[in-house]
Amino acid sequence: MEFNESDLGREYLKFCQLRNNAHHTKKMDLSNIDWFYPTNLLPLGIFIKTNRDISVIPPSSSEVLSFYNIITKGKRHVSSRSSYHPIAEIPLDAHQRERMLEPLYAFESDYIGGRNAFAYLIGELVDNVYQHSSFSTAYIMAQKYPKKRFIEISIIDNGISIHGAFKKAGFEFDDTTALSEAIKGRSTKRDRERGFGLISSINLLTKGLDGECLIVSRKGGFIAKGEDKQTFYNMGEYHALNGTLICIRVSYITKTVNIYDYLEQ
Amino acid sequence: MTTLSSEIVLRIADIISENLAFRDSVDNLFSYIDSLEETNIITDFLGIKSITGSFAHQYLINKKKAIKHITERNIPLDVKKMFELVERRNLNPREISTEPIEVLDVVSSF
Repeated sequence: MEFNESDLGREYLKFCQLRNNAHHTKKMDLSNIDWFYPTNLLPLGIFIKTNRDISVIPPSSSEVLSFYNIITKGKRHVSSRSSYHPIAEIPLDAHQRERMLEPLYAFESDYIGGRNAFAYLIGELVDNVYQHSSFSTAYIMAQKYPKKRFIEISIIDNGISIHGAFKKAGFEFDDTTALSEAIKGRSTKRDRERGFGLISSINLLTKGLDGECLIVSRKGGFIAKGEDKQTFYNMGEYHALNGTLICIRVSYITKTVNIYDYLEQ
Repeated sequence: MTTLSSEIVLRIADIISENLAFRDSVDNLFSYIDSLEETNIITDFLGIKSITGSFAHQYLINKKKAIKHITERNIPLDVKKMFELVERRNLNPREISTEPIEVLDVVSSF
């Protein structure tokens, strides 16, 4: 599967184009954006936040501008009835972590295979960030699309990347190999009882929830879609990302999914 | 939290959350347990709605290392299944696949 055959892949490529143009022109031109998805809006928001010298030309569409403003405000308390969970910082403080995810757990989980499946997925993905990335800042956002009947969630951190986590543990892998080893279940903690978090989340997402997943970590990329499509990518300099971005898109599934049918035994 | 002589009941949903996700939360829980005077600890899982494999794995590791006597009660069925799954994984660690992966270069279509 080519990278741009995936919905999430295409959205990430839009981010790369905007980011790289902004580096050259010192302007982030969002005027032609017809809609944002978490896969491009989250890294865009963080890029704008960390590159204050770049001026932003806002979206021309008032609807898109309004959405952009709401999402990037980073409100902490969100009603479970909202169609979005704005960009929120993932706290470093261990005592605030579980509470931080509460609004997300209530976020349309009945349509994402039930609360158990949704909570498992989010919990494992965010725990991975805490366990391996050594980040100083990390963010999460989510958006549901009731008419299109899917939900999209993105998590980004500025940590040492998956390659860096393996390097810290004494493994010398390039970016793409590091990502593939993590997805095969190799733990950066050198413990064969560990390493199930990512592989089981991807199994549950793609096989149990028929969802799609994009991971970019430095120059390593990965897309999983449906039951059998898993592809790794060399992102090159143009499409690389400092840190790690994980995006998932899940179509609404009203039946409750038994997560134990999909977790790696 | 209920105390009865050298025994204490800890409601996990109150101390951590109804949704148990993080390994570090387990470490915090066991640090708290270590700080208690009581030697018999009952962890009460009443009201727990979900648990990750990472949380369950870390809980079992820390429980094994703990000096105090720790028992669980009111474990919901789904949570019990996760503990059982993790115990099975611990007994049968798997091999990492050595099959080569196919890697594509990303070319922008813009």
